[in-house]
Amino acid sequence: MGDGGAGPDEAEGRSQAGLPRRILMRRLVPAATLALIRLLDWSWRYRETGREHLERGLASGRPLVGAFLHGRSFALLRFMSRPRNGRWLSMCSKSLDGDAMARVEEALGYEVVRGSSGRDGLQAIVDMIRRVRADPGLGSCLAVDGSRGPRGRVQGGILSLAQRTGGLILPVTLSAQPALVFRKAWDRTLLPAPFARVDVVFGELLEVPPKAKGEAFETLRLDLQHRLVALQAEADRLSGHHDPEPVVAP
Amino acid sequence: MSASDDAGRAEILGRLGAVIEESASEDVDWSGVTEATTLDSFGFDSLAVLDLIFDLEQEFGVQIPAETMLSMKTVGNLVTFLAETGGEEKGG
Repeated sequence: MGDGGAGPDEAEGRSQAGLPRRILMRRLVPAATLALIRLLDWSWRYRETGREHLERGLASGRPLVGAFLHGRSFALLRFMSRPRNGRWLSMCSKSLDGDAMARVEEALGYEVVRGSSGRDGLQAIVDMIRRVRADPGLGSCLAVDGSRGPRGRVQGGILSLAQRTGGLILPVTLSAQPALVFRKAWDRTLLPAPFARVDVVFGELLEVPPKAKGEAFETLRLDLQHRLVALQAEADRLSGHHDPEPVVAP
Repeated sequence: MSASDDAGRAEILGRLGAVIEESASEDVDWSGVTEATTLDSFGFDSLAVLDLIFDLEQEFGVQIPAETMLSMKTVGNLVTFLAETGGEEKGG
């Protein structure tokens, strides 16, 4: 879920990687990550807030477009893969890291397109739109400030995805206490500790008019950005997680 | 190039104008556009290119890979692509 956080340079590096590293990233890392996610998920105690927004979206008959910040995407993976939460199409980079992530996500039940930024990213969004149009019961999801930030800055691809699929944007985030925060990562990735209480928070559905362009488009982008930052603050408040450097709208 | 080829390209160029005016984030004065006009001059950002890909698909019935779209320099390149992939027959 998300984009795997890599760009075209890493995609190029993928083809040059040695066999041991390719085996590691395509076999061992996915298997270990999957086992870790399942074990942690078994221990976490989930609490949901705003689930009615997800339910309303699923009942609408329109594709959902899940929007979340990159730093919480890993922890959301397992939760959103549950069948009662819908079927989702995700994006993973073409790098070796992305290979590993794509295998994990596919094992959890996600459909995956490959790409992250630049030309690959544009083609990946095009592929996502075509896949959802062919299967409107499939939701699509993106880490909206990926693949490389700035943290909290929503990029416009999510709005185009909604416009071109006729989808409704569903903001979602997660927080937990206790949790480990990777402070040196640009996105301050949060990983709930074993047996943590995990708060998943859904925001109100956002409608994106299909013809919105220019200023109207930018207003929608800023609105979604504001909603996601506020939603993450709300999730942190609910869980009791304190981030000394909380995400702010850039 | 035969007269019918010229007419076909002119027809594609005309239809292309309507699509690009719709996709561009800034106002486009199509009256001065020729096949030599660069696509960069329309001020497309990546999201406008995305719009253009789907607007062209709707108008001409052809799926253009992002890589191909981004590699085109001029309006003429795009007209050639559309002519060669059957856009002339499928559209309209």
